[in-house]
Amino acid sequence: MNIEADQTTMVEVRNLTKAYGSSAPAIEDISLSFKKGEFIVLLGPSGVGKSTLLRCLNFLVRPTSGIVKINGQELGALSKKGLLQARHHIGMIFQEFNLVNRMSVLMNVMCGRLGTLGTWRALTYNFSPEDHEAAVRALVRAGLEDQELYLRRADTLSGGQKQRVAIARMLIQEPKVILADEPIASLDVMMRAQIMDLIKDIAQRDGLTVVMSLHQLDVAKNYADRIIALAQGQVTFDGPPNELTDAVIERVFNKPADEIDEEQTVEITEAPAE
Amino acid sequence: MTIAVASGVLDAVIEERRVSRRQYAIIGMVVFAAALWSAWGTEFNVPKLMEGLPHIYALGERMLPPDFSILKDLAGPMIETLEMALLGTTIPIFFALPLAFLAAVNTAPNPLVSIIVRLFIGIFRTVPELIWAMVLVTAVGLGPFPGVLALVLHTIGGLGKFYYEAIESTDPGVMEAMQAAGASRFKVIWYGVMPNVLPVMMSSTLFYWEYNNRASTVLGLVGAGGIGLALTHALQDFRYPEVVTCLILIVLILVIIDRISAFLRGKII
Repeated sequence: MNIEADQTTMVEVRNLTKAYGSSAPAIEDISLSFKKGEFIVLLGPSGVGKSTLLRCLNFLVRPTSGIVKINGQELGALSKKGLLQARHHIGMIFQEFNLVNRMSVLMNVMCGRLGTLGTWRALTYNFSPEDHEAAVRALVRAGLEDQELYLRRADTLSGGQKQRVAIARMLIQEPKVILADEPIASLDVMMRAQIMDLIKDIAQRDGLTVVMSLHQLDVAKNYADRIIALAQGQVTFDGPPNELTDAVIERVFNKPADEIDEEQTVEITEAPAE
Repeated sequence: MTIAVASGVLDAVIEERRVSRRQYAIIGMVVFAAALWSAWGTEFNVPKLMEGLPHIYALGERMLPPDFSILKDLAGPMIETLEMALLGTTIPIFFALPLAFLAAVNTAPNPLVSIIVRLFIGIFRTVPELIWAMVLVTAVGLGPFPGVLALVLHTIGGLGKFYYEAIESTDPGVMEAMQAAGASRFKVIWYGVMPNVLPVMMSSTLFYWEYNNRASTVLGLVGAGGIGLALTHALQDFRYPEVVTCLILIVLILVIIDRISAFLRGKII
């Protein structure tokens, strides 16, 4: 268990349902609560609603019904402006990093401050000196010490470096919660461990709650305080990694546990290494 | 067993090729038939063209040599044409850009707005600038001003479409990242969309500047100012050497502008 974890509830979800159009709901009647400092992994093959659940936590996807509370604040009850402010304190990183290719590394990081940037400054791309300093601090913390990179265009970086920039962009938001959508799926094996260690380290030091979707079983077991497995939009397992028995794994992935490990190894060797 | 499967695949490939060959043959025949029908409809007639050739030769003789003495009188109208094209391209940017963000499905406030704005952009673009000019000359009188307005209207439609297509091709993940950081709609557009679409937009704007230089030379035909007006007058008065001078000047300037535009577009990407 994480030492930092205390009893404060940071994320609370009640009876959450999201249906796209008239098709079967992507997630249905999910109720969960995550504590401060908890490292949560949403596990399962793609298409089981992990991504939808994650995006409901900052209302990038508006739930069809149910309640989402972040740090005691009910997102559904907020005004448009209030929601933007709430999002400012919820960091998010993505599988494809989602940086602005034609912007500099430093500018990309400062985009994490867009939630608080004044309109005039935003219009003229004029971030304050404090924002610049904060961006540099965040980049160093994300493991990019080489200042020569800072003014380079984001699309000139390697995959691992890009994810570090994205992590710096999230850090500059001073988040209380980190949402991570398959953050290592586009990285090679070496990079995966480095990025996972980095996220874990940041979360522990700052006492942040992490909610991360993953499909790699071994990674989930190594890093999670708590694993939540989804199938057909519903929670099929919720507990610490050591309770995730082969029987549960078979049910989650719908195939024998030893086969899953094989498949993971194959997938890792074939992963695009930028 | 494996051989049987392989030959089955082969059969399928051969059959597919046969079908596609037949399709090409049918398409070819349809196009040919349509072309024949059109030739009949337009009284396209090669012997008649041959009969006309001596007349064209005679016309050529009357046109040459070009009368370069009028060049200094053409400078004014020529510059006016270039000015029309420049205004006709720069003014629409300010209208096309906001309209494009309303029209693009990924940035429109709602689908209905997108449909309506697209309709307007489509109408502006579909009506040729010459028709806009005819209408506007009737409304505001002769001269370069209705010409500029005509270019503006048509270009809003043209640039609007180029712009919203560029916006729609942008990476949705980047926009999502900006939203997740708490960026408002405007900031998402300004930071998540603009940096990546700006080069495409600049390039299509240059394309339209080129296009408008060509278009503005023609606008004089309906009395909307510029070198086209000088050309029309020379034609109406059968001053063929002057007509040739106009044409030479127009072609020369347009070639230079095409070069400048190509050079600038090369610099952008």
